[in-house]
Amino acid sequence: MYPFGKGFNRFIPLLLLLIPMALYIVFYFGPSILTVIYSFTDVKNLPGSTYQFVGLDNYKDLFFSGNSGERWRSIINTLIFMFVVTIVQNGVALFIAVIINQRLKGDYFYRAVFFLPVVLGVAVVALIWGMMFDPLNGPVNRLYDVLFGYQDMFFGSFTHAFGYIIFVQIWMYMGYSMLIFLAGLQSVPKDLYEAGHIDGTSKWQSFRHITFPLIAPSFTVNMLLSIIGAMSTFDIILATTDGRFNTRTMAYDVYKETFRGSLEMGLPSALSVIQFLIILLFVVVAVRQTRKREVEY
Amino acid sequence: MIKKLSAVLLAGALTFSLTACGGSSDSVDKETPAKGDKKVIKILHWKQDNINKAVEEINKKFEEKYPEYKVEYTTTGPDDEFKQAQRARITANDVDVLADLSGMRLSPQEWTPGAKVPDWQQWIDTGLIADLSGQAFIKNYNANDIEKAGTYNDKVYAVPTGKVAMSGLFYNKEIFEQNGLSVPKTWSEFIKLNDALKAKGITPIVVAGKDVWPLKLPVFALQAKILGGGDQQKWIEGVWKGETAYNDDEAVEVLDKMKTIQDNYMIDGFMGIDYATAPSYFATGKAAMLADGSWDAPTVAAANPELKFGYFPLPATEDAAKNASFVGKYDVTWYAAEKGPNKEGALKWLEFFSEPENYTTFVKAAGFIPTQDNIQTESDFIDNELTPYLGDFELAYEIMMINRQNIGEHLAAEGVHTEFLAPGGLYKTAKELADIQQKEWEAAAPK
Amino acid sequence: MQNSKTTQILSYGVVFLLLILYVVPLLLVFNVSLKSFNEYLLNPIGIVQNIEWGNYTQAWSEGNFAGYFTNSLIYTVAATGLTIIVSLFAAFPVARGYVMWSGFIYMFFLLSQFLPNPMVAQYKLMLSFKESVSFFGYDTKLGYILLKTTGTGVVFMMFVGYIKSISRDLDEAAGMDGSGYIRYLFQIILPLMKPVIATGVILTAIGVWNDFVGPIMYLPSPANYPITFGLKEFRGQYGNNWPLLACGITIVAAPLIILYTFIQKYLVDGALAGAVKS
Repeated sequence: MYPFGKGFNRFIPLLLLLIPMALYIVFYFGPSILTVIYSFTDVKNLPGSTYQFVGLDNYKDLFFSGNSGERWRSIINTLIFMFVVTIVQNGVALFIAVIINQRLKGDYFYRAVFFLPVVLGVAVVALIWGMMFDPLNGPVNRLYDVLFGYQDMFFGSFTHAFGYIIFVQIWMYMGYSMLIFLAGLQSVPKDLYEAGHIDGTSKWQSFRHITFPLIAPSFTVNMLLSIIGAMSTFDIILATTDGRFNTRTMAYDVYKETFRGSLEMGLPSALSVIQFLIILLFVVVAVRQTRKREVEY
Repeated sequence: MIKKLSAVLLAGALTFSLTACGGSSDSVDKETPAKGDKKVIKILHWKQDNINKAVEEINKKFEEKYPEYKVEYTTTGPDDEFKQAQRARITANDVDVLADLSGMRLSPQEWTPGAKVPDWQQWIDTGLIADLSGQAFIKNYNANDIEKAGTYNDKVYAVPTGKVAMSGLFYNKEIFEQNGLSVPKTWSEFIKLNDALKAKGITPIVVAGKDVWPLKLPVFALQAKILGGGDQQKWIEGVWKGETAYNDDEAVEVLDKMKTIQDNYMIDGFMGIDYATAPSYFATGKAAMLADGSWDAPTVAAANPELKFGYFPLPATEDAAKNASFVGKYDVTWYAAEKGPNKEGALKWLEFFSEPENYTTFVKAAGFIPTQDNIQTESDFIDNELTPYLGDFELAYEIMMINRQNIGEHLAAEGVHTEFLAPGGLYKTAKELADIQQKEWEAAAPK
Repeated sequence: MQNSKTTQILSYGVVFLLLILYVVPLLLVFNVSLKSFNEYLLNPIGIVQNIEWGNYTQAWSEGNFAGYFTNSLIYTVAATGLTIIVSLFAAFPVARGYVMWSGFIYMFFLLSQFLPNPMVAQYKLMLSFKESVSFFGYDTKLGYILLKTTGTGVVFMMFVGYIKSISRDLDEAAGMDGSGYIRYLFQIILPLMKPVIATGVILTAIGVWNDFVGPIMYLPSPANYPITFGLKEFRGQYGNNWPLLACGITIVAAPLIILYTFIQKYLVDGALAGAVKS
């Protein structure tokens, strides 16, 4: 079974495994569990302060105090963000992946360019679009002016800012989803298509019946990545509007309440727990749906 | 076998020494410039070019006079970013001298059950802030200012370094003269002035709406002169006791007047102008007035040294006498950390800073109204533009207000948030916003 | 044939349109970075008239990039290297079943993607490390590197998927020859995993190099600032100086773009490994 010796040698894999395990438990798993516990306490962001269990008070504060309206808006924003990003990003990515996969000239170049925003990172991407969307000198506003005779405030608009953030998020991560689809598509044997062509199946039919079932695993991966990503992203909001103009989401609120809100740490902890429950719900639903599809074909 | 194992250990050691290098070089970084046994004093402040330069100058002189110290002066972005850094550093006991954005705000009173306790008060209560009561340098400052902005439970914890006016408008003297306009004394004169400018095709007012908080500044004038018939304190107590309300006539008048200004007289797209850019609009004559705090006078002057400009209080009411004074706050306020790495150094630095000569350097660069007596600022701006209106210097709403915990966003950060008004915001009338505010105020009441 | 020709033209059309959406913003930034501030104010969009390469040297010094650059280099190299190594330590035995309960361990590590946001407790943890074991707590380079090192994330999952495609016979042959576990990992397995390691490197490096939220929380002293903080220097003071900011953007982005051009041909293979498994 284990080919690399007996006795002490048998334990080397385990010993080495303990390094990542320890990192994981100390920095992520432990704090995660602790955060759940904190959500039931009045722990404060002060050195050496003690804390007591306060039951569900933090959860009550979240939803039954002066700012509960904003809490609900954050939840709704999070859901909008997740749905739009997941659907549009994966839809566009799949479409482009299929197009690029039909041996277009320069396909390496296209996919390199579409993946580039991921490489640039959020801070840079936010600044680039800040420049594009500059209401005063920005090119997009000039374009709007020429085309529609209309000016926008972009990241400074109560009605549009959130939409623009969603756009930037999709712009940034479309290439990532596309890459995963491309990988899936390239694992589809070419002769399968050729067989389809001889049968006289239409493009759409061959995509639906041959390609799609085969790339269903990449579909699942992309769904999960975008759901979890969209639910927990806040850096793009921090870097564009900083949560102003009705652009807050739950993930942003956790950050804001932890570092900029009151010194109470129980409240952001409770918010983290609720965020977790919502993510869990959607991940379970998504996995069930895509698994069903994989079985169907 | 042993050979292989040792090779592994070596590899492991190598990777770790690599990262350890990263870790240790950090401590090296900190100590090399200090050479030998210099004691580091960590000062945290926010970015404001003119003030930063003055503080750096003082730091240099300090290091010359006391070579055993090394000052590490860190600045962060203003507002929220600073508040975050401030909190992180004091919690980690990683700062010696700490700036705050204003003098001490009011702490909860008997008549404010369930109020939000300000951070500084929690820090003092947890023993994180040094007691400065006995320090000789406190006597350099005006006793009344120390009492108002630096004292808690009869002990001095903070040094307010200067006063600023917040409720005024910078105005371009040339544009005013050319069009035969003069500084308005009443609200209706102010409206007439704006209309006259508009009729000439001149944009009346620029404000940095993108940062949102600058919109509060003109509102402070309205609040101070209108709420409680000119007695804010009475109105604030009233709102806690249920005698006044966010949607009563006075509060709606405040919002309504600001709405009038925002709708008619602000530059197009003011919600897209950030705070750093706004002064350049004014300085280059793109707008006749700039709604900003008096601390920005040096920035305006730097943006266009040729510009002749003045500063007048926004006339909130029809009573010229009542209008003729500024509303403001204490600006940059120093605290010394009790449990920081170098408390003794912090006190020494504050003492040095408070020496009249150094303090003068600071206050001149900052454009503040001094909190030490007998300081010559030699500033025409302060002497001619601010002093005439300093008679009844009042603290702004954001300093006086004691907020409820978990208050809604329309009242958060001790403001009334006129950015929520149409056309930028979603509330079409002042009354609509006022009703929401009152609802949120009541919803935040302790249960 | 006719049909396929039109689809091809359409395909190129769609890709071309999207290309514009991706390339124009980047070109705009580069264009602006070469303008003097005055030229930018007069003509923010048009093509640069007088090229100001001096902007870059000015941005480099005003943004304090020299020191921040070194810091980010340390963070990125150390955290990426460690991540690859510990991910291998985790992935190989789990993929092969060389440790007990490897299925359970895999699930346990997979959980890292779904756990409640640990931010609050993580922050308190780093502060308490500073009190007790000061060299890797809050505001230390080592602490931040360890925080950014993970053997249980996406890289781990991609590795598991890829290792499963490597034949087990290889293990046994090496074992017969008397090779030790660790030598086998580094000498045989690691070179075989090139594509997936390349993907792991670029993904991890992106995450560390571009991180600006982590440093806001955990690296408050200027001595520890990463390169992304240099961008902040150009905001504020007399309005946003977009030409210098655009230089800063280019400076921050360039190193990773260079790394990316070397590595990108492996990316699809790596992504394949990630997609197949899960």
